[in-house]
Amino acid sequence: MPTAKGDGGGALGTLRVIRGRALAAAPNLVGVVAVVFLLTHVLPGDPAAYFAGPSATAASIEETRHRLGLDHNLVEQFALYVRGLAHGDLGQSLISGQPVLADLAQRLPASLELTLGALLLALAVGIPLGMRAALRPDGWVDGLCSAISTIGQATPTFFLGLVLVFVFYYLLDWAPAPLGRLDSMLSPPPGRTGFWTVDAALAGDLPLLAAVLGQLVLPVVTLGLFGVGPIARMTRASLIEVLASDYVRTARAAGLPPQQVLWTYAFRNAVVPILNTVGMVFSFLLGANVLVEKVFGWPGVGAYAIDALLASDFAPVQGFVVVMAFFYLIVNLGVDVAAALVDPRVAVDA
Amino acid sequence: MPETAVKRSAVTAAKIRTVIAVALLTAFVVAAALGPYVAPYDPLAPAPLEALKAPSLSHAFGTDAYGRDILSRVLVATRLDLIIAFAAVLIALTIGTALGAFAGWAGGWPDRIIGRIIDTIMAFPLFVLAVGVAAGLGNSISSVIVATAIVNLPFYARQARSDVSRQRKAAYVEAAALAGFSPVLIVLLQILPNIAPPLMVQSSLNLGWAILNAAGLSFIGLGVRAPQAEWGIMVSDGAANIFSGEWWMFIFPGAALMIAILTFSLCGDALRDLLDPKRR
Repeated sequence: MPTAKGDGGGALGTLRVIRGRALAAAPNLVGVVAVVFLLTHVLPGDPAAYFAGPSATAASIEETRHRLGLDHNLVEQFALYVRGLAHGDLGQSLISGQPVLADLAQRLPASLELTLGALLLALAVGIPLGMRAALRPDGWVDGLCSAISTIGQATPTFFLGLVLVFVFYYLLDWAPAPLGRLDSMLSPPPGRTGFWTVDAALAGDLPLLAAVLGQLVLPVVTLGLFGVGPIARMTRASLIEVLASDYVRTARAAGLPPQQVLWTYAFRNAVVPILNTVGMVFSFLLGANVLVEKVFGWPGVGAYAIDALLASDFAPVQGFVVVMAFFYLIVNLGVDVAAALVDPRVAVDA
Repeated sequence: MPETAVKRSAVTAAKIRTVIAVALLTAFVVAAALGPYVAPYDPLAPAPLEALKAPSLSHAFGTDAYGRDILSRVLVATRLDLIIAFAAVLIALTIGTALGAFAGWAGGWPDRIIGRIIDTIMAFPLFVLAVGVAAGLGNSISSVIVATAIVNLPFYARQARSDVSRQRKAAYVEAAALAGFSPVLIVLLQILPNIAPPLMVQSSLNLGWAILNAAGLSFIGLGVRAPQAEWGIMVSDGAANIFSGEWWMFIFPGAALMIAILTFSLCGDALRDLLDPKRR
């Protein structure tokens, strides 16, 4: 990615952009926390009974009420909740008996490996597809582009996942069983990142890396397919607009090589709307992860939240929603900053 | 009507799409209305002797683990899936438009507060928020409807806000104000008919998305309960039988889901072409 030059002035300008964007995102953070609090504390029903779980007795409900501070008034409760959050306290899971934060932290790498893999796939397929379509509008690539986008949007992720499992595991036997991150006969790679692809590669264990990648292929394709459409469509639309601009015409008239015109002049100017679409796609991926993890027995945060939900264990569900919303805020912040750095005009507009 | 339009002018791809969309939509509405009366079998009654039969002449879509006829269940489920989607979109359309119109008309701090609420909803990954809302409201069909409505609401609110604030200064609005109409009447009777087309297009496109969202929620076990027929939960049931090769259990409800979503998105496109030929 090209770096911004001049104007804001190097690292200092970058810092200023980041600070400005972070300040702009702060009200959303407050909003997210307030909504999650309201979801469990104001809605009908007794939140103490809610958090004490389905098998609670009257005494344990009272105990929970006291422990969670639910015997205070709503404002004090909110203050308690925010203070807990600030200390990383998301409550206890009834099923695992562990702090929710620890449970989530343990499962987050599995979910992120899946989400990032799907995002990479969507970018790797979507951007070239959109560029080809923009260079020859109404050509066959353009048709393919809109077909993929229509089908991708009409296909429920969980259904696509099951179709892929049926075809590639049951019928063809090309893919491994959709039962988690690794065949149960193998032991996971040593290492600290929790991204098993990275850990296996760092350990230099190629057969293990192949096994890990093998498990990843189907879920990543399932999750990534939706992202291809929006990214390809936005790349196409944005690039077509830029290619019709005066400066591209000038660059072409000046006899610059087509590749240089495309990348240096056109693509860089087309990239901001694409970045914004990536943010939107990421939001979808974080949501759809829940469904894909269920289909593929993937031990991530989404599957954890569903299991908790079905067992009426609500602290993990609440924690999951907060953590995913935080993630999405950070991703949006990253997208905003990247957009401002790639195209200084964005920073000026804001 | 599209049928006459096709006759009158050259048959273009867009027109064919419109006809297909309308035909499919009609089929779904008929299935929703008449499903329970035309279904060949009782969708809920178990028939152990018929369990896990592959598609055949007597059971076109096969049977599930309880021997229930999949075709009957897919047919009967249409009504529930469409009701959930229509109810959610109707709630989102009404409340979202009202909030957006109020913000766009009033400006100032009401605009800022409503804008902040909408931004907050959009700050969540929407399906995650839907899971949180449905979980918080309790495991029922009405929570799935409310959850789906909430995540759809921002799109209407934003559209209505920008349209109303743009139309506010229009000559016809000032004329109505001079004629003594109250702001509420001006928004309802004068502005709303003018800004309705994009909201209608949005609704049609959203219906498909609402079906997807609701089916996703029931796929993970929220909302619709076990014996009841609903496409998302049927796919979920079928998932358990993939490893023994009973593909018909998940393929047919999943296909119904996909075709329904496609239908509403085609209808949305067709409606957009019809209402605003300049766009696209």
